[in-house]
Amino acid sequence: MKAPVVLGIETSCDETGVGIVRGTELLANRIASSMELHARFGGVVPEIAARAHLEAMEPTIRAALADASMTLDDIDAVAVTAGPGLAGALMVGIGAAKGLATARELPLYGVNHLVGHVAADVLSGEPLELPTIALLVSGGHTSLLLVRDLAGDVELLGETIDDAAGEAFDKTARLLGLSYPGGPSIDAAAAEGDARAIAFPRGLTAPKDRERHRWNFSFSGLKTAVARHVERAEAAGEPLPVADVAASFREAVVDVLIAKALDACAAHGIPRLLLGGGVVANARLREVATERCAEAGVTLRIPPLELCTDNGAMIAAVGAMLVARGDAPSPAGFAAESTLEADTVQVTA
Amino acid sequence: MNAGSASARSMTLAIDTSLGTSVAVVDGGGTVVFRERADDTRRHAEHLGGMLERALEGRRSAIELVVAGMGPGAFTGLRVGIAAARATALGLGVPCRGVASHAGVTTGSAQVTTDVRRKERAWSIVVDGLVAGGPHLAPAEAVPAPGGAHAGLERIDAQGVDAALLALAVARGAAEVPQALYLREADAVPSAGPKRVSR
Ligand SMILES: [Zn+2]
Repeated sequence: MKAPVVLGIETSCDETGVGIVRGTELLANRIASSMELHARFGGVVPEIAARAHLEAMEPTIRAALADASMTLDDIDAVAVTAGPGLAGALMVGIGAAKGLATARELPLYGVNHLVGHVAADVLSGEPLELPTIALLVSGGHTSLLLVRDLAGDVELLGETIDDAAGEAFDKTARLLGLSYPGGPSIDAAAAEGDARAIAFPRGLTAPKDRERHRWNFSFSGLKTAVARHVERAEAAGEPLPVADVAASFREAVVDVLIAKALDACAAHGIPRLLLGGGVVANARLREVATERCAEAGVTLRIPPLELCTDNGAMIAAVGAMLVARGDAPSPAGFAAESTLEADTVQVTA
Repeated sequence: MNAGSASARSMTLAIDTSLGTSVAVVDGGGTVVFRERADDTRRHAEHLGGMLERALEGRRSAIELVVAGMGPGAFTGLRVGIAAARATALGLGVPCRGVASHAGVTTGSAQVTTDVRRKERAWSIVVDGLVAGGPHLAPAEAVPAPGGAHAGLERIDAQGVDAALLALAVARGAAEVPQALYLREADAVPSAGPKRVSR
């Protein structure tokens, strides 16, 4: 039997993604982003994102089909992100997916966005080795997962208890007068800075946090520390050392992310770490991950960047896996679940 | 009539989620052959899945047009129906046409008002089942009475929209509404700058 061709739809945040895969082969990966519409607000505005999804959806589906040189006749199943994510944004993708699947009489799978980030790696051409620890960092989430089986055994080890890492970059960029999105602008500002100039706090790494928050993250204290630093410089009438603050802030974020991920690898005896999410575009994160994984004897996997940011191909990849396993589609009445847990690969109610 | 005409495309599928969820199929003669409606102003995505399946069962090759109710309505629910209508049309290979949802309240003439949350109502003047003015926003407690030629028009505070009436309105030449009728800008007040954390 030929591997199933699955069209995946992703609208959990500000990217309208439509991807097409055949089994683990990537055929199309179209992304329409509403990022520039959010720039003047310094962060994703849910209602603006949802409005943009509605207008981008049909053109993006058409573009993905054209990229794959396919028509809807070639599609065997549809997959859509059911959660976690912004409810209003998710709902646009689910509405479209239900319309498309019902019109074509295709099975429809409502799947987990976080599992999608892990599944993205199967599209990179090499088999995903399991079990693995996965660190997923974006503007919408910061999650540490233990993945034993992509299609049914994913455990959430920890996540952020306040801001997502990408949000921390955006908010800190605002404090420093840098542009949105914060990741690239802080990266650029940090290039000339000294990462050891300021000892910013590493959230939830104190011994007292070890029991309850060993693999959870917190970035709000770090953001506050940067704000205090900026205000102190202002009050003293001193110029703000933007490059040093940016570099030291970035180092603090990256340090906590990688330290906790490698601690999870060691604690579970799993010498594999997979990165996913838009923050992986941050060069310093990749650099530190590469160095420290090598030191720790941990194999590092980083999917190509266009598969790390939110995209429809990763959602199609989860769908293809479920179809290949012979799993039943999601029921017609499924809905968006903005807080869908990582251990729910597919919504079945 | 020749044998081919029975399977010719002549039906209209209409979807509205501006208040509750409503799905209907109307044939070329204006007869409603499928109609389901849930006046639950939440759970649009949940209701819509089954309704769409039942509406299309055995009729896929007969649908020649998909009609979408474009609001006004609560934003998140409204978008579910529009997204579904557009994607259904894409899937069936037929056009999608948007119309004002207030045409789905009456085939007669009335001032139609619907709840759009935040203590506001949207209202339109509907004449013979077609929207002739509006939609406008008004405080829920102070919807103005229509004046001029429409003075004395009956007011209907609609609890639901019937998608079948939207299909019929299109057949009778209802104006096309290409974009969702939000009536309000997206909530996104640019923040005034970083909050101070030290004193
Ligand atoms: Zn993501």
